[in-house]
Amino acid sequence: MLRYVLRRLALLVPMAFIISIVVFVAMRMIPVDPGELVLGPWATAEQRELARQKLGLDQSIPVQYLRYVTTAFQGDLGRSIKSGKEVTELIRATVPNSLMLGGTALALAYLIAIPLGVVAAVRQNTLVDQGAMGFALIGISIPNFWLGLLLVLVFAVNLRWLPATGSGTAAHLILPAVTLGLQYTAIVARMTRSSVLEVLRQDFVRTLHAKGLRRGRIIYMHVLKNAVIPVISLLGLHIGGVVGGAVIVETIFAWPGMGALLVNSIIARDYPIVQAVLTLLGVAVLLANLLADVLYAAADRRIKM
Amino acid sequence: MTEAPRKTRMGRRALMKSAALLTGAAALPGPASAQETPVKGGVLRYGLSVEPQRMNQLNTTWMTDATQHIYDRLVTRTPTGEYVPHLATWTTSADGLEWRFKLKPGIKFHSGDPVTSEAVRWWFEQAKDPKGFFGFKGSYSAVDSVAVVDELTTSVKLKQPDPNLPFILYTVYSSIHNPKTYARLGKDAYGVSGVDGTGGFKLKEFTPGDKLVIERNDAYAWAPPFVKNQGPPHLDGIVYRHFADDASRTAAIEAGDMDIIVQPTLADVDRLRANPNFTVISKPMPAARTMYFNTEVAPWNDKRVRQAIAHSIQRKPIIDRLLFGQGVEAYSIVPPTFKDMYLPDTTGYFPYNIAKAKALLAEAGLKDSDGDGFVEFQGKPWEPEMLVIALSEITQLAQVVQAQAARIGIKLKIVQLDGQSISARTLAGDFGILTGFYLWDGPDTIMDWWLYSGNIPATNRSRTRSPEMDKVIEQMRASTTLPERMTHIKAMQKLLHGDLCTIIPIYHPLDIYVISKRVHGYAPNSATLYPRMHDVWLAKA
Repeated sequence: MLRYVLRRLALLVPMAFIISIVVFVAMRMIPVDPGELVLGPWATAEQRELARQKLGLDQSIPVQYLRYVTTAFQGDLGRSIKSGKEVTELIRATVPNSLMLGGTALALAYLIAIPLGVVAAVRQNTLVDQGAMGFALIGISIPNFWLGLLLVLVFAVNLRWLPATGSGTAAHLILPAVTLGLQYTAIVARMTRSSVLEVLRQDFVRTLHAKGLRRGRIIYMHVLKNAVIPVISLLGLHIGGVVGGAVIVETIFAWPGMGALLVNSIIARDYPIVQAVLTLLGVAVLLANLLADVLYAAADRRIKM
Repeated sequence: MTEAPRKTRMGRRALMKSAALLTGAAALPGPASAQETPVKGGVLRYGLSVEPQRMNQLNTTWMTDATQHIYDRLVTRTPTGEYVPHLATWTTSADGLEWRFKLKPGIKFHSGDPVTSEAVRWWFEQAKDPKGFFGFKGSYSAVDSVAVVDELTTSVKLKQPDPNLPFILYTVYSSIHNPKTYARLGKDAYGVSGVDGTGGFKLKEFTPGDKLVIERNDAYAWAPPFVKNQGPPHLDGIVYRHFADDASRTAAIEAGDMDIIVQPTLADVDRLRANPNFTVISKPMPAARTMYFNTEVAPWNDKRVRQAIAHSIQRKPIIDRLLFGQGVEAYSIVPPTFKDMYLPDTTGYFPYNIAKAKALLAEAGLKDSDGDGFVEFQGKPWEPEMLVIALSEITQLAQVVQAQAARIGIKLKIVQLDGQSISARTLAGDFGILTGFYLWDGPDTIMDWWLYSGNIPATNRSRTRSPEMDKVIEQMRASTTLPERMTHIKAMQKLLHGDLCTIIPIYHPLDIYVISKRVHGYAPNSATLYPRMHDVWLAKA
């Protein structure tokens, strides 16, 4: 297992390079006028050229990339064109916020969704099942931006129980985490239900019943363990997603995370931030997939590393 | 030398008194109650619609509200538009070619260093540095040389008289910095990790994407003469937060998370106005939403076609339906609030008139020969692209313009792009018609940038080439008195909106502030882009 993990980690290095090259070239392909970014639309041709030189954009793309990589290895990812802040500083400030929001939302989602999915499967075609899946359907169907604003309207504006926006306290986390988590809850609950139903129909479950094991023990010790593998696949995807930040939720709740940073930077064409964040996200997705693979093995010993 | 009057009445900038006439807002006393005694303390929470940027005008043109409060300028402007001394008094020579600025004694930077004439000289040198990134260096083009006379006096010699100098010196783009701190931090970090101004507030924390925090400068004793509070601000500090989404910003103040927000959702303005917990102040922005043409591309190079479009625009439905009444119809690039430079005749130049528009198109050879309701160009079906920034407000505006143009037989095709792509295409001349916007309290400068042939293509993106317009602009630049300058500014409007129509104004948007009743003394007015905070205080909860 350890050797497998190390091998996968070593593979991350070339993958990260490939990601960084793709992102870097993509950022150079889109029309960006650095003179306009820095000086506004009234910049003269002379000023635009000065800006290009200052930002090193008068060099060829390979030279620019080499310079970028060299400085990146020294911990310098450049400065934001708009705010002037160092990109590393901005990432350091936003990653914990995104992890906190995403982690809470995922924890909330999985803690609710797995039991919900199991109950729905075990009581298939009952009111409990229909209620649980109806809830899941609503969760998948409601757009984040609408749910977020609705929760703000009810719990912040009318009831005044929770803050509408911002960060800093546990109370600030509740509404964005619920908004973000509901969607994950719905997806995971549906996946758990179908997976549990599939396992319940297998012969070994009948055998366990025949051996006289209690139903609860069969479900939680045997069925769930087998049914959880596809759910782990989802977890890998979801972790990759939350590291990137929940763009819409972060925007609605003015949550200072990576998603909001990325979107604002894309809109502003603040390319030093965009290329650093996108590369980081690519690596994060690779790591999340690695984690999922490790969890697979832990859940099912038959899977060889 | 002649002593400048203590209150130099700069008529052109007396401008914005009429903001009150337009909205009834600027004349309001604001949420402050004059009878109540200000309370010291408290942190004001302020919700912005634009993310705070670096606070160094030498490195960016994108300023943030805090810049107004962190720095001071040599000159300031009263709420009624008069230019008065702030950090310095000034005198001008009889021929208008030398200005002497004398700093008020005892002024200190946040670092504790005294403000001397060296800082003033340094600023002028930076502003006019041809290799610098200062976006407004053109406004300093009349400056020939700057010299320190004594510790508090600076002499500025001009190449030619410039009656517009107090305007540029008043703007936030002429904020005074401590050159020593600037050199110590370096131009990249200055305005980001630290600043050293003389304003009533000091920078405390700047976390892009989260917040910008400024705190009271307890040593402050040089407030502008027209504010009540001449000492340090009442507030302990201000926390600025950016909300990209209008609905979230509006919800934040309704939930009590913010004390002031700017630009709520337009559909909510009337509801918020009726809410006793808030005061809503709106005033016309020194801005205009426009559409303009590439005058180097046929058939937009024919002014009759542009005039036909001008005849097709109905502005009232746009204000009423799209902006929920939160805008002012625009017939000139110059907003009517700039009373001394605005040309009222512009409202009658190209009124909504479908028949006239069609006649103009026919004269230009654009006729509907196949009977499909749309004109052909050079004998072929014609569907010109209209570039718009992919923002809902702009797209909706484009759709209305598209529908209105269809009434005269022009079938516009809306192409949504991001701002940078549009900029790239306009610079390359790869466009026919597009929507434009400016926000700047010097519309005369905007017209210079947008219409002078020497500014093609960087700022004159319609590629207007008119010898008459060039002549008027050169006359405006060479004006030695304000009345003379005003005459030329009005002539520019007459030529542009009464004949050339290379740019068609549509509306002037409003600055809208929603203010909690807890806030006192906050009174935005049209004479400054960023409302002052000297008299603002918070009632105890």
